Amino acid sequence: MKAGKNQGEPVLTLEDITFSYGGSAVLDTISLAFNPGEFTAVVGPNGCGKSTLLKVMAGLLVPARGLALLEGQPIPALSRKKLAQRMAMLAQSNEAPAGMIVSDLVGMGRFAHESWLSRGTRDDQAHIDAAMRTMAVTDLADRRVGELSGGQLQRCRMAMTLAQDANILLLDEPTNHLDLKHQYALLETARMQAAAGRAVIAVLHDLTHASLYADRIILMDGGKVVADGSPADVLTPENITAVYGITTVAKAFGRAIVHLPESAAE
Amino acid sequence: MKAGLGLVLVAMAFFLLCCLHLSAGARFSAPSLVFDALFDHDPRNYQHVVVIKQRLTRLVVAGYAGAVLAVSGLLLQKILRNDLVSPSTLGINSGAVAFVVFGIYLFGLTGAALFWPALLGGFAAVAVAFLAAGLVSKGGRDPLSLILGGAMTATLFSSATTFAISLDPDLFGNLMGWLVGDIGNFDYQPLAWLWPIGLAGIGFAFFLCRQIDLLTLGTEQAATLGADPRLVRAGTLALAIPLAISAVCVVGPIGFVGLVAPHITRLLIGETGRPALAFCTLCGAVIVIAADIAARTLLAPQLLQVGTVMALCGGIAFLVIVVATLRRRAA
Repeated sequence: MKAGKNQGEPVLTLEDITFSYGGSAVLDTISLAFNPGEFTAVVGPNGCGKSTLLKVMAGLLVPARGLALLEGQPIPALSRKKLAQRMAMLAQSNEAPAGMIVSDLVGMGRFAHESWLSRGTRDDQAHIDAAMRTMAVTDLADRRVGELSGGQLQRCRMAMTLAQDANILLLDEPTNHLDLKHQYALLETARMQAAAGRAVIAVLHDLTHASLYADRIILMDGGKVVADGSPADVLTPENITAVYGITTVAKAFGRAIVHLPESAAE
Repeated sequence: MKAGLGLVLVAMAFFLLCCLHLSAGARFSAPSLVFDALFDHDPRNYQHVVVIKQRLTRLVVAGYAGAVLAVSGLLLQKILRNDLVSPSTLGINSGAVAFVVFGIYLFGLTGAALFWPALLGGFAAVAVAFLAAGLVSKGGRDPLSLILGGAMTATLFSSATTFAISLDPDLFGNLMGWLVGDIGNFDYQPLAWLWPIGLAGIGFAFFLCRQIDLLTLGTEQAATLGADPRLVRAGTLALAIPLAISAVCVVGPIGFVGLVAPHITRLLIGETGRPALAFCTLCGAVIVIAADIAARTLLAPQLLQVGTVMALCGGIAFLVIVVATLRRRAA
């Protein structure tokens, strides 16, 4: 397994989190802890609560019961700016005004580190440049958002998230809109961020992606955690059947675990 | 276009139009005469008096109204993430006019006191527009439904205005120009006590610009980047509405500048950052100054109303923008 597992205290802790939008519980007494240096993939069928879980961690939703703690401090009690200095999130909605220039968009990631008197410092610019190099969008710096393809915009938004230079990265379906090459590039970036000591938590749809890149997989269903552990432990045919309701045959290619429907696996 | 170049160009346009505004009129004044009137003023020279009392005052009023309406429109478009909203298309102008008319009819208010009913009317109109939009949109976030709500609001308040006027037409006789949206020779008088609102409003808009930009990325993304969306949105509304009202109190419901200036800004230099805000401010001033020049010269010596000129040109621009929005969505 990768280095960095179990190094130090958990940075993010959820204790008995219960959340509902009014009806039945979308998250049902969930307790989890996330460590620095670990790339965690949250997977599960549509509506299982994985995006809601991410929003609770980001402080966008306040749980009805339970505690969400960032390095021991309750997340809802932190100001948005303080929170943003330590935690960045790539939201799922791929929207940005068509007239916005890419370098400005990526520069938005620095807001949490700016004060009224100092912004656009050399340090800010260094983070922006580095993030744009990492996501290979340096060439797009002067382009308008409206001229970008969906995939280019997604990479620029990821660059913005990296420019935030936070120790916790929350990624909500980060491979959306990306073609194959850039899907793998983004997941590789996420893994590198974890290797650099950050806690990376991504909601992913593709189980193969999750098994290939994540250190840890959390499988959710109906607002509960069904399984939590290494890809090999979590992505078993039994778990897949229990959660997705289909019978699969699992095949391993190196790290990758591919689940094929039984009917097509011959 | 780079923001710096855009700013230089719009500043040049502003300066040239100011000069043209002071020269043009029923009778053309040579630039040298304008210069003398400004810097070597002779109160007994009738031409000098015309340049200062009739043209300079109108120029200041037109520039002020254009600038604050443009900034108000840009702020509204950004926080509502809707390119079609503006003080006029949300019904703010009509709401303010209706409340002012009722303020005059019911309480006999005059002068500075009319700012308060106008402000109340502006906020009421936004509330009604949102309510109506909520009713027609069936939950979806369609930019057109808010405009539909705004149009319904504007119609509603305009009818209320007409009703109040019909109750006592004589009382509103000298208000007719203002009701259409016009720059009169004495409009600088209310501006003399309203300008601090514009100055403070635009100042705060520059101060908050970065946070407002974050909000254009969506509420959740803005929050995780470190802004407080609810606070920023409320604060921006609390800037945009008084800004528009301060113009309506002076010149009446001049429409479309708050819609068109942000679009020109977006088209030429983008909408992000303080340079875009500065560009939009000047662009709004340029538009209304140009409209005032047109109003005074097209049918000279007869005067047109600036509101009429703006409604004609702006109405066409509004149509183009709506059609472009529909096309983009269909694509």
